[in-house]
Amino acid sequence: MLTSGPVIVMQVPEQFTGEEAHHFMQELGPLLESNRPRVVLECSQVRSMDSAGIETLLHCLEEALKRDGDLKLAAVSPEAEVMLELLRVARVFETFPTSDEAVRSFSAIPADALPQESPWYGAVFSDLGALKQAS
Amino acid sequence: MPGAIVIAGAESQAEKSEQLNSCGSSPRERVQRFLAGVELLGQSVFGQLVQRLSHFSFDTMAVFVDSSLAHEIDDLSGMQVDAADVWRGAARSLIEAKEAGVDAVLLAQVGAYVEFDPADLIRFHRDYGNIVTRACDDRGLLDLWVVDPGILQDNIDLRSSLQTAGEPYYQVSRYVNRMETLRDMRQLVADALSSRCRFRPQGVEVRPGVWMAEGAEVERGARIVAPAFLGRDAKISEQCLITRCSNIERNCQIDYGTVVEDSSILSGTYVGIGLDLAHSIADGTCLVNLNRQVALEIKDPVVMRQVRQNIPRGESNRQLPSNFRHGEAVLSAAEER
Repeated sequence: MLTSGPVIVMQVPEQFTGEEAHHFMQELGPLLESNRPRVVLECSQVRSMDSAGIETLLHCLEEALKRDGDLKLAAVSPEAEVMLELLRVARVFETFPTSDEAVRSFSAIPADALPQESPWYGAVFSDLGALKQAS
Repeated sequence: MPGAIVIAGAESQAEKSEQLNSCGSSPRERVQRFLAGVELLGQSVFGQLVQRLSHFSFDTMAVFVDSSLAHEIDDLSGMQVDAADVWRGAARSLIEAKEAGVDAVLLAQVGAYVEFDPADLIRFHRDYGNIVTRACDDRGLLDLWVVDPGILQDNIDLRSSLQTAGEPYYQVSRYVNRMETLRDMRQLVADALSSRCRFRPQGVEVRPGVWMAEGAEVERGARIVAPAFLGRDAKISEQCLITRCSNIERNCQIDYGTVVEDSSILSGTYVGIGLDLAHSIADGTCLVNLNRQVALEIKDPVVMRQVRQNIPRGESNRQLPSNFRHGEAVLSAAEER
């Protein structure tokens, strides 16, 4: 059984630069110290983001992953998207069109939570067998 | 005996800037309304037209630049800028042309990039015996006319008269780029680098499809994949990749490991280390992404910044022919010779 708290959804500020990014980290930091932190950062309001903002996002992701949790981005504004791509970190984050979808994605059973008794391809082959029988 | 007048007038540019693409709040749009003045492949559309016409056998030629646009033309070398109304100046030039016995004056208001044969246009005008002949293309009218100065009155409102010029229009069948949006600007670069038009990069084609201007420097390990252009004194650092019709203009610096793809880096722009710039126009601290239709002001100098001001006008590498005077005193070039 997976033990983890609720999914935390936080709004990233419109100006996600320098000082703002630092304040944001101060708010989010303690929440990332829990066991398996699950965080969604809602980025629809972001109009400006600099390398400090990107650095903050990467730091948060790193902290979440260290504790076996995850951090996902939702509703990423075009401005934020351009900056993430420009600084080559767009692919580092899992992104979703809405916060709801991002939250729901945490309920999906992670691959490493599947029983490991049979190899991963076992299920595929048994499905194929069933298909053959049906045809 | 034909003459020519080139106008860079501001009055219609304000209207045009409102129609610019959805990069509505772009710093580029606020500052740079006159896209024909932006240096592309080493030369602006404005500079290119003036140079082209100066090589044509016009007996007289005058260039009028509205003072509000003067700072928006990157290569305004050797020109005097007149604060006076450019249209009034042009009308006065036409009167002077009339007095000098000039029978046809080509008048171009720079905005669009238009490829045309001046001799053919003037021949068309003379053949039809028009007072004013206006050029057009498949998409509509162009700001390009031939005027018979003989009919002009002293107090004529030249601009209104030209706007009401009727048929027959001279059909331009060659390449036209209206340069109304930043996307048009990128398209012109791509078309020029792909030889789809006659707008030529100002530099040496060091290998097929790769042009480099004087002083451009490519460090070891950097890759320039054709078609691409590197402007005067541009510097490309190690492990960079410049590709897909990208143009790096004068005095730009692309720092270590950055990829520039399908993008224009306008003169005097620094682009930082390890970045991915695609489908964009970068100008100092302004970044416009054409695919996402987003304009950003990058305040982080590590990412992007203005390297330095453009070379002071007059020190530029291009000089207009000395027999042409620019500004208010015009159409006297023939007398000077």
